[in-house]
Amino acid sequence: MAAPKVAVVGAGVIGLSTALCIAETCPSCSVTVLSDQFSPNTTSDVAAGMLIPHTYPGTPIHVQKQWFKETFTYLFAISNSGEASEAGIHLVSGWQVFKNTPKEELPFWSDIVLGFRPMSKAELQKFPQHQFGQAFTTLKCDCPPYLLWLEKRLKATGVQMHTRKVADLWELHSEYNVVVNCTGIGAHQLVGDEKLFPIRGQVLKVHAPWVKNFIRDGDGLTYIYPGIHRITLGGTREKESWSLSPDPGTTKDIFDRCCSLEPSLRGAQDIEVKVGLRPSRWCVRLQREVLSQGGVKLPVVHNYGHGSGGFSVHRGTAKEAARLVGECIAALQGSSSRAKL
Amino acid sequence: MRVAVIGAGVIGLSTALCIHEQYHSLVPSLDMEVYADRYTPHTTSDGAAGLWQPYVSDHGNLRETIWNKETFDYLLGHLGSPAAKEMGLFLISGYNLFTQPVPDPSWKNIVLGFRNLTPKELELFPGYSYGWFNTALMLECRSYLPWLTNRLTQRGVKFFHKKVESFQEMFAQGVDVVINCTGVRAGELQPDPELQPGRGQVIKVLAPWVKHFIITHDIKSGIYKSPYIIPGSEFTVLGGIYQRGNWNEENSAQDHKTIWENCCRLLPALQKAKIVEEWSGLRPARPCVRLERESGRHGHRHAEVIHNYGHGGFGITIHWGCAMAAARLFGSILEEQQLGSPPQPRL
Repeated sequence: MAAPKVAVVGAGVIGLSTALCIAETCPSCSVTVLSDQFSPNTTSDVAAGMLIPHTYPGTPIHVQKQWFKETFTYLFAISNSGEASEAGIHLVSGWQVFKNTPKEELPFWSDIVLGFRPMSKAELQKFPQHQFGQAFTTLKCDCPPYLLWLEKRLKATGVQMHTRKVADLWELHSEYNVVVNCTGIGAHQLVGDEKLFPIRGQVLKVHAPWVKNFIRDGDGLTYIYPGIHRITLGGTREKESWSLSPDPGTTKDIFDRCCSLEPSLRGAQDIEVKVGLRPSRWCVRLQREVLSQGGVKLPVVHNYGHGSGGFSVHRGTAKEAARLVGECIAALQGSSSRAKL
Repeated sequence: MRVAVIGAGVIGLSTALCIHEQYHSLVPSLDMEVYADRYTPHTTSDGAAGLWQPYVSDHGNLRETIWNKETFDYLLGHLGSPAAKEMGLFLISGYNLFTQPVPDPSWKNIVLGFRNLTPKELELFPGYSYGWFNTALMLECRSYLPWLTNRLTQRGVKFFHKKVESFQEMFAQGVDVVINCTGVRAGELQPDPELQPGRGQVIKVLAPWVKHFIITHDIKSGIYKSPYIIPGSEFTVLGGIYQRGNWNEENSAQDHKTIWENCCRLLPALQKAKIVEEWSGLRPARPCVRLERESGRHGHRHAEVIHNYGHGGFGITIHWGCAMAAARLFGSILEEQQLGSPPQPRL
């Protein structure tokens, strides 16, 4: 098969990083990204982009750890290069604090982030309502910069990007040999995945450039993540809520919760409110499927359902998806050569 | 009682405030004035990045270690207050890098979360094989000095834009106590061969993606001669120049090149940073801080000078501890005056 044609549907962090991995591992492929939304209007643009993994109940821990490690290593190298500022990747240190000591004192990712250790008594004094904490240094992917940087890298490798609403993956069967489904929360409707559900997150993006450290409550609901130009204050985890409209009562609640962790935030300026729907699932759907109608087949690779952990594992799942695309192409080439006999 | 503070950098203004806060209610006649030929943003303090960090070795100077701690604890106590932002005060974490193992510093238990760097962290800094990580404080003088000035103005302290030529000039005006916070130019008021300028130059850049301070050390060449990167609330300060005996306050193109190349090598992510400003200043370097009383006479009047200068590159780090020590010296002056003065006639 000359120049296999691969369509990647979705242009958030998963779609773009997957397209890049496919272009890297399959130089002969012609890759096209199709999406109804591009940065700054994707779910990824709302997220802070912190590399602090979410634990998927349905995926073996060693697999999640491998995905995180690959992602961390990849971004670590960029953060330490001249491209760091353009890519929006930077190191940030801080604290995860708990009101009650957690059962699991060492998360699976503690040896991948840098300098992970329990907080000292003196450090905990800053958080009188919290009894226990962990200090570490991790990476942050600021969006839109990271997505725009990925788009730039894609264009440089010849990947095309088109704004297009795909209503049904099958509609692509005549133009493409393989389709990669990175539609995030869109997969609920696109492929009818009932196991995929939104967890609504509202955040504030504020100007408070004196805040240099992240602070996160171990319950995952309240967090302060310093980005390049803005601090992301969060948040909410509203299961099954599909509303993309900011709620003013929630805004005040988030702000108050964050100010109780970091009082100097009272002086924050230019508060912007955003909402995203985390594409949540028991496990990331990272697998091949073959759609067929009337004897015509369309291989599909699914890579969606990353919930609140998209940034943390994106490179790892992108590489795996690219590997699956390679398998699909090999299978197509195998069957086409058999057809020649 | 008339008190004249000479010098309006971080030392002068904080000493003035500390004395006024402690004694004004006890001495209602306390009349305080500040004299300086340079005010913020033109003082030496204004050029400093503002990081609280003493030198790596305290040379056994326990007094100074205590003053450093008192300053840190004082500032830490203000962190949660609404004044913090106005003061230019915030927490910051970062790295100290060495080419060989070194003993832990005297301040390891003063800062928060002090620990050695892990091998993976050291991968970020080729050429450095050992280091520390800790969380410390930033106190930006371009905010702190105006904040101090406001507090003093509210208390009725008067400011004069004037170069004082001698202590005698003050006593002749009727000043009872002079607080000498003249920094690097203290020698003009009273010769001090131990006081030398430690010239520094810095480049201020826009690099808001840098969230950590990074300070390298070359034990052989000495403090501040090795590149450092300190992110502030608006700009990131790049430095690494310390020239003892150099009084030149003009920016040097050679020093610029040294700073820029060394800092970009240290942190490649700086390559795209936009240069906004360049600044040179003279650290008031001395083997130890001169913080002591000097009693004398002016005519038949008692004349007192409290010296508080020579804080080198750690003025911000040590300022409040010194201010409190100066205030204690002031208290001893008051005590002696009370004991020595004739009993007041009772009506």
